[in-house]
Amino acid sequence: MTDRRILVLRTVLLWILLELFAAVQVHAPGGEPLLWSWVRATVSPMLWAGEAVGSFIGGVVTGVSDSARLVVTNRKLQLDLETAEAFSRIMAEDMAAQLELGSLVSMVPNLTSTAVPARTTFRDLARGRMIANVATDLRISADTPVLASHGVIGRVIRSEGRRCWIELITHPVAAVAIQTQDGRVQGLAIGSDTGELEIQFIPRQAQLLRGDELVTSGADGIYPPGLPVGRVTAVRESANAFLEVRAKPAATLATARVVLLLEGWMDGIQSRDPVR
Amino acid sequence: MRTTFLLVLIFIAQVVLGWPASPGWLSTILLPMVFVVGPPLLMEERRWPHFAIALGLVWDLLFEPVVGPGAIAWSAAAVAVSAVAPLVADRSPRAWWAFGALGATLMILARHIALIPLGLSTDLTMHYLFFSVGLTSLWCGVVGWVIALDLPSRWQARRARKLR
Repeated sequence: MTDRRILVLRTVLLWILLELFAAVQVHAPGGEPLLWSWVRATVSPMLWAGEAVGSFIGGVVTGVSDSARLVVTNRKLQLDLETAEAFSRIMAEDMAAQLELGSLVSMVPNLTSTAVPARTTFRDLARGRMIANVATDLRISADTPVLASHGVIGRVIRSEGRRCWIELITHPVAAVAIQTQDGRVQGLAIGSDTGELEIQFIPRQAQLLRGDELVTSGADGIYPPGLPVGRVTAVRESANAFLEVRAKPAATLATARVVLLLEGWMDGIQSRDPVR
Repeated sequence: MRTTFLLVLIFIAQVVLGWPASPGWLSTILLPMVFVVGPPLLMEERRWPHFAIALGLVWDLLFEPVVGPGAIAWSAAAVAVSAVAPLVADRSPRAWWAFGALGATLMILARHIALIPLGLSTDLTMHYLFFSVGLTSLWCGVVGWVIALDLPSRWQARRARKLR
């Protein structure tokens, strides 16, 4: 830096000091030295900027904390939503169950007042077993017929508390006395490992076609007559005296939600029996 | 010492020019301007602008409401004249007149500008500016002419002639 520039620089600094010195001598309208108002005018924007920055930082901090709270609230709402969805699914399930129950009730015209609805809680189609819960702690008699929508599914083999163990008609040892709708062909539906029914004791001359509907005949003393059991899927002649007939259960065992336990149906019939 | 004596004399004269009894236009002459124009034209040292600050402070004490703006104005004029003078070779009374006008213009403008932030500035009219600049430059021109006359040398030459 040349001497001239240094001289000018010093002179300018001196001018600034002189102006400040003059400002000390002059008083603002408020009575304070003009220099203070200058200082305030210089510092105020910085203070304002500082406050603005502080406010901004505070806003950011508040925003972050609010965001964190929102995340927590959002998570809680998601959980609530999942819970509501679960309840919705349960309610939809209940609604479907109610519809099934309605169809069941309409399926049995002479339904006795002792018929008990139950909800299935477990099913093992391979072993031909199902567990259903009744609403109240009610003892269900063994061999009580069990209906699902579209037809018979089995009988109660054990009852304990609210739980009922059901032997499905597809169980290899289960047997249901059946007949055709017109009652001209009668036989016995036996369970099998394949999940289908083997219809036994159908005479060779019986007029049974594929697609014919089979209902309970009531001859076994367990199932009331007239309940759908299945539909014929195959009719073949065999070496022995009877036809080899296979049928598919009418009830959808795999999706049955609600079943109807026909507890005491025999009592109603017996009370109306004129012989008795 | 001589400079100080001249300065005191100049300021006394400036006070006299501003007396209420004297004509108003006399106070517009900036007599100390010769101390701003003189040193650069007479090839004196460059620290002269700092001396102009002291001159301005005295000006402030005598004529201004606050101390400071006058010093700024006088030193601004001194800096400008010091910067321009080396660029001009002319040292005649005409140069004194021109630099006097330049210094007066800068002094008046700088003083006005320095007073604005303090809220003490008055209206600067072109009439006042031209009047003050004109009279001050004339004053500087007269001083330059007197210096150019070199009266001591002439006096000595005259005495030498008489003695012969």
